[in-house]
Amino acid sequence: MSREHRQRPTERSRDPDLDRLVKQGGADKHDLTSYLQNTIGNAATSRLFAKLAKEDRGLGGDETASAEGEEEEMEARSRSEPALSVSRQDGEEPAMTRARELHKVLGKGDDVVMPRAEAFAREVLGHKDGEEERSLGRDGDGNLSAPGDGGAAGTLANPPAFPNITTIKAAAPVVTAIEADWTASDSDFNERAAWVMWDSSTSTFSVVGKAMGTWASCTPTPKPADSGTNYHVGHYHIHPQLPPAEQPNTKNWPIKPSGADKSFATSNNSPGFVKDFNTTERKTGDTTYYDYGPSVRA
Amino acid sequence: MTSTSVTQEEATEIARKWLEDNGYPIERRIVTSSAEFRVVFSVPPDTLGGDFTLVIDAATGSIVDRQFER
Repeated sequence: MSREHRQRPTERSRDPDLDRLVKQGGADKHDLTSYLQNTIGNAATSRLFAKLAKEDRGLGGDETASAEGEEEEMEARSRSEPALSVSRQDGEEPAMTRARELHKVLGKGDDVVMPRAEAFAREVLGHKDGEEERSLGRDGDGNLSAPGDGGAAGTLANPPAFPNITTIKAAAPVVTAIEADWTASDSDFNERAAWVMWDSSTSTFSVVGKAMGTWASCTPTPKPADSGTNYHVGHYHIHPQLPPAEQPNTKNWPIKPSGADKSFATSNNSPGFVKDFNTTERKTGDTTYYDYGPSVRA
Repeated sequence: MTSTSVTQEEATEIARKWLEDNGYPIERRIVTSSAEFRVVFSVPPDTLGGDFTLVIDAATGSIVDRQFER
């Protein structure tokens, strides 16, 4: 473990310039996981988190590790990390130089994106303030752990940190499901709803318990129970186009989630989002996702 | 179903006082009022949906406004 990575996160959280660069790079503290999944894929993200978590556990371990072992690790890191293509400026902290490099290359999909993504993740996680610690989770001993390493996968008695609504509504299986439901409503105008599950061992999402209602409401199926590493983390529903008989009265049908939608989400501890129109004119294609209820499952 | 808790005359006075207290010029304005019932049909708590609210004119029984939440 290098000395840089032994540094406590809070000691590096006072660098507003680096924080800004990290955000410019596309991954702020709250959606690092989804950003990495989009950049390097789900499996690579899980492997990366597992690797980082093991190192983080080392942070809280033996601070007097032998100098010999530390040197070996630093040497190994120097072999695995690519050379930077930006020049370090006078007086610039190494972390800032690396952040500028990452901002430059991330997202271009070149063949060195994985080590750059790893370095980028280190920068973001180096600024953890509790939110990030939640995203990694903690194992039974209180050490940081990550999806895929058996720690953040959690147990029913000791669940992991759950993805928030921003991550949920960006997950490909969820988007696919809600968009399919929206398309299906083109012909019957009925609302539809479903629950979103998340497997903490693979950081993957699935959609279960689909239900269909009327054009005015929808009663979801009973909330699915957690099972193993598969957790309920949210739900979605749709407010499709009004049926022809109601379309002349479109302004009598407000858009956005209703008070009952919000109450449902809160009482079920279930972050929700609804696909609905941007205006009561309900023009085809003029739609968006509206969040409601808690932002993350408790 | 709920019922009104003020008379039509009382409602008129409440409106007049509110407008005066808040500085609205109401001199020479002609006052009319109508009693209305707001009838709400709410979804049960296990349902994603919203209130159906109909506003009924108490004098004529006609529906004067309606909102359908989803």
